[in-house]
Amino acid sequence: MSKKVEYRPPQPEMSRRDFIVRSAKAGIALAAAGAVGYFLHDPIGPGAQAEKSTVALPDFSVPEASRKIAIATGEDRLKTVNAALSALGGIETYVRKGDRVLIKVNAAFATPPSLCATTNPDLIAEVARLCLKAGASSVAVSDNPINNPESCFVLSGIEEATQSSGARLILPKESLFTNISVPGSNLIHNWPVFSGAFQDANRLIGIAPVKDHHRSGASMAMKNWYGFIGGRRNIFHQDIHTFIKDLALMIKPTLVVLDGTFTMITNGPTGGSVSDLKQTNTMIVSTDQVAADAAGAALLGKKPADLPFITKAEQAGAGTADFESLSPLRVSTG
Amino acid sequence: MRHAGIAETGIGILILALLVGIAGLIYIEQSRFDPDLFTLSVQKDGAGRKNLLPSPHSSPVPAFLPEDLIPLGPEETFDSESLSDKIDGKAELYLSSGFVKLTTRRFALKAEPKSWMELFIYEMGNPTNAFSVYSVQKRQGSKAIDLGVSAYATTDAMFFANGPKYFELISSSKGLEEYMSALARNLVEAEPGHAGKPAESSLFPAESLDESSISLHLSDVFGFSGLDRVYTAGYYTGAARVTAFISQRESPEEAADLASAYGKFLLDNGGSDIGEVTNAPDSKIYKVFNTYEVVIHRGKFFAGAHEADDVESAVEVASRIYSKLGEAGQ
Repeated sequence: MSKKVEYRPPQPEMSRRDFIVRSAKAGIALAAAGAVGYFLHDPIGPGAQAEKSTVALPDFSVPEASRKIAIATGEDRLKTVNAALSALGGIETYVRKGDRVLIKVNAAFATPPSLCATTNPDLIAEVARLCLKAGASSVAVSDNPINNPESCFVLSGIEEATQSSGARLILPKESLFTNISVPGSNLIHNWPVFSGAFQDANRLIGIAPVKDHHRSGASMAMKNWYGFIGGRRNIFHQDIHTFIKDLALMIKPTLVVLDGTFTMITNGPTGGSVSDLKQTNTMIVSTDQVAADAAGAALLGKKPADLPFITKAEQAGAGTADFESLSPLRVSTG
Repeated sequence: MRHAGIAETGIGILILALLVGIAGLIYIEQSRFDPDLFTLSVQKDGAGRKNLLPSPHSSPVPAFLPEDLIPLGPEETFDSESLSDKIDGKAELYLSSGFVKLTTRRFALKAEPKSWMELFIYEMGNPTNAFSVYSVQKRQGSKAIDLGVSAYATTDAMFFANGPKYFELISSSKGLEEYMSALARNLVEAEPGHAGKPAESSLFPAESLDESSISLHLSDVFGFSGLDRVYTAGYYTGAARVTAFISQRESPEEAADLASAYGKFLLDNGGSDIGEVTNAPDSKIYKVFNTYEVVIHRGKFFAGAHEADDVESAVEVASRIYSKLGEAGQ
């Protein structure tokens, strides 16, 4: 059987003129597409605040204080925080006459103090009083909570404690946020940070409760800086360990106070009942936030290696996970 | 000049139509642009956020509210986008379990407005999801309460699942049990018809069972991504505590395949096969580091004992589950 072949009439070859015309048309089309794209291009990007330049956050650490950690045990927060601070040389080592102190608390939720989902108000008041007694010219307390700030500060008892101690409260306002980038961080690039809170401060003390956290495994001293972040910050939960490491690079505190008098061992970070708490009678005060978290991990029944953000922060140079290498000053208040 | 053939013309038209379609999709998508997803805007001032500052008598009284209580501020609702605004990192637990909506509201004692409680109503889509989030958060040392549904109380809170909803009642201080109980009863009575426990819970043999420990885990159970919808329960056998598990699958074949896949997962993660359970065909006992895992399947059920410290206790519990599944017709 013969193969059927389709007949194609002979086609004239393309002339030079046709080629030039077609090439010119194609070139014009490409140039037009490029021009439209260039015209529509937004070099700033959606919502980026060009008017606020990138700034670096101050270093609040006290160079001569070096890296230290004190671990005080006892039921009474006020006694243990005083004992731990005394072991570290007294608050006067870190706060001197005329200093302007910012205390960063965890006021994330509009919940009662009994749940320990937020920083204990009595502890805040005590540290604020100690700072004022040491000669601080001003003490401010602040956080950018998850829930409505007014509700959080009132229902957690932090507003009342702040006022009673002689400190002032700084509420998060849009004008107090500035976009910053943190050198060495993976995720904090041109992101709004509550920088206005520490605009006038030259000392920064973080006070956080020790809590279980559904996403990161623990919420302690480093995670507490999350409250300085603005914007749609919950997206960072997708890479929470890297983000906590970035927070540790962003903030160089004077001191961190980690309150493990009661530890939220289940259902964190919100808890929901005193049954989520375990009385662990421990107060950790340190100039090294990574060491503080590494020591705090034990209160949650974990090792520092169980919490990837501790390892990441150590590798990034934010502190040491080997807190025993700092020869912790252990004190008991009986 | 050469003329294009029919096929070339057709392909050309198809490509042009495709480009028009893509342009149309881009137009539609950009019109739905959500600046929150991309904008580096700061969080709004207090007034712009939810969880408003409580104030008495500010809104209508819901029908389920006992006489002794008054609303402390308005009702608030959160969807999957805003859930983390209320409960931060714990949102993931609900979002991975079928979460639909959260409604919250605070109430205070009429006689003492400083004593207050907050009600959380999580709509979880179906009773299985609601029971799961209820059970996996169960507090140690809590006590069961009689509401006709799965429910327990601690000294300052109450938790219960009713149909497709999971409820939390959290008080600002101890001593509000009476008021929380009244509110909880009203909430259950407002939506009757959901009494009873999950069918799978009756398959756990009763002897030495800690009934309050029955939990439903929906995904990534025991760290194995292929394992979902697993009920667990605690058994006290002498000094040892054993966690038993049961999961109903679509078919006996699926149950057998799952037992095999889970066994492979254990072997791949440092486990070793050390035997089988007498009278339970195709069962396996694994030693994983210093704990023991017993894996059985019968009919549509995949079951066993998980991370037991004592192999005899684990085998004993798994054997009883195997027998119980037989009695249940599997």
